[in-house]
Amino acid sequence: MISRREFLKRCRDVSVAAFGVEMFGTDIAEGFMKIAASDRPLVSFIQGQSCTGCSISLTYGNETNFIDFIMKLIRLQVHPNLSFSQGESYLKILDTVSAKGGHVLVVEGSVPVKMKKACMLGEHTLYDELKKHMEKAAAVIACGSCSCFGGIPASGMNETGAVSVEKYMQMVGIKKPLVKIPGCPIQPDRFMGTVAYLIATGKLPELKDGIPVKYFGELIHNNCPRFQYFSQDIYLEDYNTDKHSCLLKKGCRGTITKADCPTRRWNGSVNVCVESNAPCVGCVNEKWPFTSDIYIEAKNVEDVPWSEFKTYSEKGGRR
Amino acid sequence: MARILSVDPISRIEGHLKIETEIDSGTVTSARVAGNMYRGFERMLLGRHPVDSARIAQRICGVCHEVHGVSSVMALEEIYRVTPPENGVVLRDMILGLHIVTDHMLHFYNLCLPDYADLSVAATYSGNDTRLKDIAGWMRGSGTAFISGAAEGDYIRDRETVYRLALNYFEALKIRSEAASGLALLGGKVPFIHALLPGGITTEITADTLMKYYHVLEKTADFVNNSFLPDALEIARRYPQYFKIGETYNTFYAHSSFKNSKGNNLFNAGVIIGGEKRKFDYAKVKELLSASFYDNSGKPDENRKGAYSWIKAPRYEGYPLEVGPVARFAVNNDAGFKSVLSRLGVSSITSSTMSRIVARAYESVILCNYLFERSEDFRLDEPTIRPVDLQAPISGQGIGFSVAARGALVHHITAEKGKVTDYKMIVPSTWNFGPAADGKAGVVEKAITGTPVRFGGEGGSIEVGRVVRSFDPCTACSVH
Repeated sequence: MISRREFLKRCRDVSVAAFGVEMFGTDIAEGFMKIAASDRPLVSFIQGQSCTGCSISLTYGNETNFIDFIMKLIRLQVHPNLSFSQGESYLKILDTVSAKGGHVLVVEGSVPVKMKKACMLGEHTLYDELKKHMEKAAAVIACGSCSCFGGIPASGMNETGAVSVEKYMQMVGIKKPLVKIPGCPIQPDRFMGTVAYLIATGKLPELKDGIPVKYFGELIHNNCPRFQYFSQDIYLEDYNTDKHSCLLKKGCRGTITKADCPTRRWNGSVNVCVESNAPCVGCVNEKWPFTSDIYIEAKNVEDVPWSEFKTYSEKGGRR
Repeated sequence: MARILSVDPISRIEGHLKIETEIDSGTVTSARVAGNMYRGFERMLLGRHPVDSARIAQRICGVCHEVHGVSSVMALEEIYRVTPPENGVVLRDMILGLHIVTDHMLHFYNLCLPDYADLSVAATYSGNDTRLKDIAGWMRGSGTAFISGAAEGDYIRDRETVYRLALNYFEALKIRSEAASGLALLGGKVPFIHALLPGGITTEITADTLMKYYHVLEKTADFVNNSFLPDALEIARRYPQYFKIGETYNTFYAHSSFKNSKGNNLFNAGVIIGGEKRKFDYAKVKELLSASFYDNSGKPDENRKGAYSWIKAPRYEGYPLEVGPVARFAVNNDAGFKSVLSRLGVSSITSSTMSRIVARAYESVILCNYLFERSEDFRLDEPTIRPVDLQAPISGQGIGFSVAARGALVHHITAEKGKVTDYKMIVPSTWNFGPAADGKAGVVEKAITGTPVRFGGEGGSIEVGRVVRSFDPCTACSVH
């Protein structure tokens, strides 16, 4: 039993690290009471067909920063961009953690299953190697849209056969708790907050299709700072003169994409895509980067071509 | 007796890179550099509307985020025959410039510094500085493995220096995060701003936005001047031998970039071969495929005979060229950089491991100075964008000659009736990390050759690691 004073101290230590703590409330606060430094989870990162944008985004936090995350919340074992070791020693640390097990494995990027040499981990293909790092993991986190759905590497003719981490796990027969944090790149709170929840409670947050509902439950459109303009049929025609209008007719995918971007915002909460007068491109959407044109020039709302939007309109704006 | 020593994978870089060296009598006699990850951006864009590339090509790399977006949009503007208003160009400079400074900081402190300083010495701290106490406590008690297992080597281990560097390792992350908010103010969010479209920048910029950007820039410049440059110079003074290690062909290439209100560029365009400056001619650039995993049509072929890398081999009239900050200063024949070097006992701008490290720090200083001036060119109440029809069935060719932290960048788009029919990117890390072709080793392969190797061990040579990391490898970019 820890003292109240100790409890408050620990809350202070972790509250800065309990990203979006209001999202999960007491679950997290209670959980953190029980965590000693030695219990903090071992976390390894592996990058597949990725651009490192998700890892970079992790260091551009909203509520606090990546430093608290690695110093107070997790025990970071392996990260391709940060590890001091290199070559064989680097792989050995990765192997040791995976062989012992109980770690959280974070996978950034997709996995090529057709052209397997399109992504290597040391001497071997990622396809052959990834499995062993998953086998004894406590949980796997798919970090970013490539890892969650295939994303950009899986778009177009997809010559490498890029697939999501979930698909890869099915193919090689790995059954593990999997949490998907989509985004191109991820919004850092959503990743670190989910890990915080996992640590504090020892259980998965409420998921729908593997995606945390707390962060991805609601259409961007419904909380959009420009929703009023939509209600009043004030649409952007000219990017230069119209700075306070709804962007739907230019291809804004906020009506078909679920995420808390408008309320959570980005980069120290200073901005969000729509507020920079740019349409949401739906980077957390499972269809990202889509097969249709990213931007459109619709004359009327009825001309907005996506089937999900038509369903949305028919239901009178309800999800 | 020669032996083979590899570093695979090389960590603390972007992406998947393998270095294989042959070592004889303690010196690298030959080297192979292999890019080990392929996605195929040029081919996945075929058939899409050209404007989509502003968003998709932008995502080639999330470390040097924003640079590909700008280059792609410049190419699109040629096809659309639209010139962005002055404010649009100013904003792009403000975004690119600040981004490049933060990219240089990431490289120096988080990617490259552990090659020179044994930061684990910070665990010995027992003084009263709370930040250092936190770092020391964390290092001693947490079982965090990512800071362990460094290769054998001659590291800086004197406590006072390591304490300062360890503090700045973390401080750099904080400053970068703040600088990122400055970029997001102008572009929506980073990585990957969406306010960047052909014709300019969509964001409504107010006096408040500019003030906030200015505030972030001041903080960044303060760190660059008072920590980054002094720390880089300290490393240079401790390792003077690295001004002689990691030399390439001393052939350089740069684009003009960062215009000021007088119409001058901070960096000029040109190519240097054999010590002589020439005008850059894009038609003289060829990408060779003999050691790369592609067939002759450019289609990926993972089993191609004789191939060892996913990176192509660009050549200028047959010459491999080094790109990056040293190349920019060499093409400029930059007096400021020369005076920094001369204080370190180096008489001219030549390629080396340490000149690249010092060049990044010094470039960050002059970029910050530039950005203070450049942001004053912004005119409130004047347009930031000349919008175009983003679904227009455009045809034609456009080339965006732009700049990235790692060097000169080209996006070349060919479109037919609103569809991409050809997309070519010639990316800085492709120049530096491309494989051998026509009997000539690639730029980094050349730089590694001749490196004295005193240390080996399980992780491979730290000396080779230092040479490679001094180029700030970006494998995702180099292969794309």
